[in-house]
Amino acid sequence: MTSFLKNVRESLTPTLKQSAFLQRGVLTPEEFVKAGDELVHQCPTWSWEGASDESKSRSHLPKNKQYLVTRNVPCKERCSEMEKGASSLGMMKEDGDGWMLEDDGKGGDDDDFDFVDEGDSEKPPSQAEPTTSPVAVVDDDDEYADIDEFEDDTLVTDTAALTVADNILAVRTYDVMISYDKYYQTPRVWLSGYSESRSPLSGDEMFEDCMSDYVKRTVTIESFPYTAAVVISIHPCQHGNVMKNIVGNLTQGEGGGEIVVEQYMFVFLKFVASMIPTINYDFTNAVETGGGSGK
Amino acid sequence: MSTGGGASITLQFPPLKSSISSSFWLKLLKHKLEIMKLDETPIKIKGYCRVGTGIVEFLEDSLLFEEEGSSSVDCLRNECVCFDGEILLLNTKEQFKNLNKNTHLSSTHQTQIITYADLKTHQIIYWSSFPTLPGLITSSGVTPLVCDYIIKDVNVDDLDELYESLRVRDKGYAPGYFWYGGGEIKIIEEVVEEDLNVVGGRFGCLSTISGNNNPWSLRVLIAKMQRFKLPEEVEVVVYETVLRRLEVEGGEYLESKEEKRNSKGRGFKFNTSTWVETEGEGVGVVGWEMNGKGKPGPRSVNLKNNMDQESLAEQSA
Repeated sequence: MTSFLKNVRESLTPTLKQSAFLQRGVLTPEEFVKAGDELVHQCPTWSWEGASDESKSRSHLPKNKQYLVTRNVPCKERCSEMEKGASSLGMMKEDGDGWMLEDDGKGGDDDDFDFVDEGDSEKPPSQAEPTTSPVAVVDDDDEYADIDEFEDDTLVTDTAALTVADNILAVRTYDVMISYDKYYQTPRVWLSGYSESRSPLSGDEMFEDCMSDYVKRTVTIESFPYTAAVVISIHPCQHGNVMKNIVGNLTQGEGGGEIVVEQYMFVFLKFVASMIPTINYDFTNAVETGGGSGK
Repeated sequence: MSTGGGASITLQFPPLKSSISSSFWLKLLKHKLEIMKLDETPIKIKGYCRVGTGIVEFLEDSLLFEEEGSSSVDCLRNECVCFDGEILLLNTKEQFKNLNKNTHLSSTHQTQIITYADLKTHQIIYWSSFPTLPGLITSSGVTPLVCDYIIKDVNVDDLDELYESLRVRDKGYAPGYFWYGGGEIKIIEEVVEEDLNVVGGRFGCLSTISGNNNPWSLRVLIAKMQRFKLPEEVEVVVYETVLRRLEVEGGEYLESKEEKRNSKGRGFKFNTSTWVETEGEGVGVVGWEMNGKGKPGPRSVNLKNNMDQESLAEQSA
């Protein structure tokens, strides 16, 4: 019902025609496409997608550019655990640039993934076997209890494949989608998560990967408007104001210069990362004022 | 180029893994309930193998219902190889358990998903199998190489340009393999028309992936090379990066050209006389996916949290 009302509200809202990127931090649909094109060009892990069927397509955007998506983004640890850790003294360390980083307890500065031998019984909890194994969910239904143990030893399998026991790190992953919200006139982020065993996560499980301050306030469970998926979404009501402030700071600070609309998505993604810090999607460009966006 | 220890190795790859979106299942179950009912005719699907990850994705638009006139032609996704397959949705759990999956696989030579869905409990169990090109080398005769000058003897900008042209040519799915020698970079098909024994040069794999963690690009390259008449000894260099990209499973972030320009690459030397000839053209299958425990059992997913209205309301509250 809520989704229906939102759709009605959005359809009744006139399309923004005049650019107000610098004044209000919002985008016209054309600017959204332009900024998205730049993101896809600079970062090929991002793609444009169309709606799953014609009826879900928004007329103010090109049919094949309804929303942006990047898939299989790793999420190595739970944000909720990181927050607990950060609240304890001694769990944070300072890097050379003055930023506070979570201490991984290993003392090194190496931020590469660690390869985990799945046979290792001393794995930290965040890298252990999925705690949300779908098979384990069937505790109220004995009919499927045997499936967990059911095997077919005659199966043809991939002989060139490494075995599960080899050093492959299994992590949660997310599909991150960015649509254009016609009512708020800003991009809107949607997240669809998968467990370590590649099963869809429930809403509550996905909330574990968002900063707790935002859960069920700014970040809520929604139906993704372009497919049938149930996902979580970051509400865009403050995006315009925040983007206006960030852009203002970037352009007015010492050495500040001009920011062009093509850079919008790079700035936006860095802002969104503050709400979902453990979903490791931001390998986009650094933003430099003066019209260029380069590393 | 020097050999890294010189010992022969067996080339292995991370297993291909299925990733089936909740919207895929929701659309399939809705179709089963409203249109198919007890009909068990297989449904055509298309999957996307994301280059560098080994993850085979099935999304909502992977389902090609005949009633909707869906076509598998227009699959344009960055960094993906697209392929066709079928999903068989069975009516009972017993059928699911007792079906001879190997026979089913050999009769289709396409990627397959066999599934049973309990529409009351929202519990789904499934098996999936994957495609690859035939002619894969898994035997010995492969020697690892440390290629400490590979980036320097090829202009990285030329590689960028080649990669982009391959992406355009293959509609965005270029696995990124090529040949280079004498300062030239070519796609393999062009080189094969010439006599490789005379031409010399090396094969390269433009990859976001490193070492033994490249389940698709290198497989495709090797399979493709096997079809051609090659010199007895072939060197393949895996370029760990040209573009900035994220390696999901491999634990490595590839951030800038400059950073990698000075880094060491990796490669393999193949002795083609050890290659095992295989039959068939086009796409074959590598077999059925193991379950989460690495055993030959079915995978399972519970969509209660995505389908059950009461559960959705509880989560949203």
